[in-house]
Amino acid sequence: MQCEHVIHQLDDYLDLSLDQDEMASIRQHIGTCTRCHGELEQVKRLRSLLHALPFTGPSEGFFEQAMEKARRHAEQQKRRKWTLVSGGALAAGFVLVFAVGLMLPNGQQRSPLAPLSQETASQTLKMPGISVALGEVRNVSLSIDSAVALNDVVFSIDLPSGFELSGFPKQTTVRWQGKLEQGKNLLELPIIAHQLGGGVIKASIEHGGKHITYRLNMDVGRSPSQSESQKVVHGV
Amino acid sequence: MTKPSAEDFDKLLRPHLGHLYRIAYRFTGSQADAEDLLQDLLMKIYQRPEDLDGVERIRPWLTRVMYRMFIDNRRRYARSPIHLAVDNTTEDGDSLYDNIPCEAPIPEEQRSRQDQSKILKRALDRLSEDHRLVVMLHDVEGFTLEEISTVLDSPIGTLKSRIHRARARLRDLIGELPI
Repeated sequence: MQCEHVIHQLDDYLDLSLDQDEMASIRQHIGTCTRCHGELEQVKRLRSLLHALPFTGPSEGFFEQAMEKARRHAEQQKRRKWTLVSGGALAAGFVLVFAVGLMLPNGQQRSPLAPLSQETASQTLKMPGISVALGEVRNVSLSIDSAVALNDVVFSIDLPSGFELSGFPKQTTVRWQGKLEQGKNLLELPIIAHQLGGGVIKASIEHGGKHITYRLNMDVGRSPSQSESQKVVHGV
Repeated sequence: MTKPSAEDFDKLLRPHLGHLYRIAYRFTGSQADAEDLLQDLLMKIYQRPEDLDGVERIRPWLTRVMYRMFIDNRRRYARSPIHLAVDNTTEDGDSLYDNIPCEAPIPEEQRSRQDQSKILKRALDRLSEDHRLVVMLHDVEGFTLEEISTVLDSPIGTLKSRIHRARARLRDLIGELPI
């Protein structure tokens, strides 16, 4: 038997993890080979020293404290996750793109409340002013990005005097329940102004006891054609 | 598998804490670092108890997860531009490089063994991480190569070669240590 082979097998030999024939062969070889016998003794002595290597146990009560700390941490993480999902984070999860819109062609009316998106927090966000023309339908779109899908979301629109949502005549508050899809949702508000001036429209989204409110500053003016005809009238 | 209650989960883990701490101590070399490593492991496990679903042998699995965390920490530390200064004092407060006389005489045999342990520890610290870990698990803690293979995710043949090289290197480092 080759010494290199025996030396390579010494660990298994000491671990008694070789088959009987192999064990017997190595035992026999070691009995007659000074080099391999010396190697085996070195391995055994080194193992003995390593086995006796000093060890310091944990500080008193460490296991209990560590488990308690881990439990608390996990509960905090769970609560944080729930908050994110259920609405406190509406702020964080609620990326508000908002905006726009020039109105749809011909003052097209749609269901004012077709939510396409999602989430909220207990806060109020002010939007820049939006200009609308007297008596014309203008779709103002709120785009809301949500990290998760949410059911049982309550949407409400509060309108100042002189405004209404197309399809909901003479209602100053329109409220409905719906859901937000994961990702981008679009809430389109077909707004009609019946008097010049302006006002603030509040769009609120509530979920899980939390809410976020968008304040839309509306400026009502005359359309160019209305202005032109006015001028004409005045010119006359 | 139904989700275990917090109490059940405690019972599931508790029998393995002593083992895990011991391995963490061998990995890190100090009580404070071992406690930190085990704490991090528990945080991770408690946060995702579902990870244990389907795990047949929890102890090797936990040991393996802890090993990976240890390696990740080491890599992060290696990449970090700021390192703590090396503390050469032992947990007993004495420096390996000092030779402070002790008031009470220490029996020669005990002194010899203490010196050997210190030299051995210093030699182990100078091994490569791969070599040190395999020696710690196999020769210090008595893991079989098969068990180490599970923890380190390395083939047994590779480990066998590694342990031979590690011991040879260790003997070189120990130098005059009479073994």
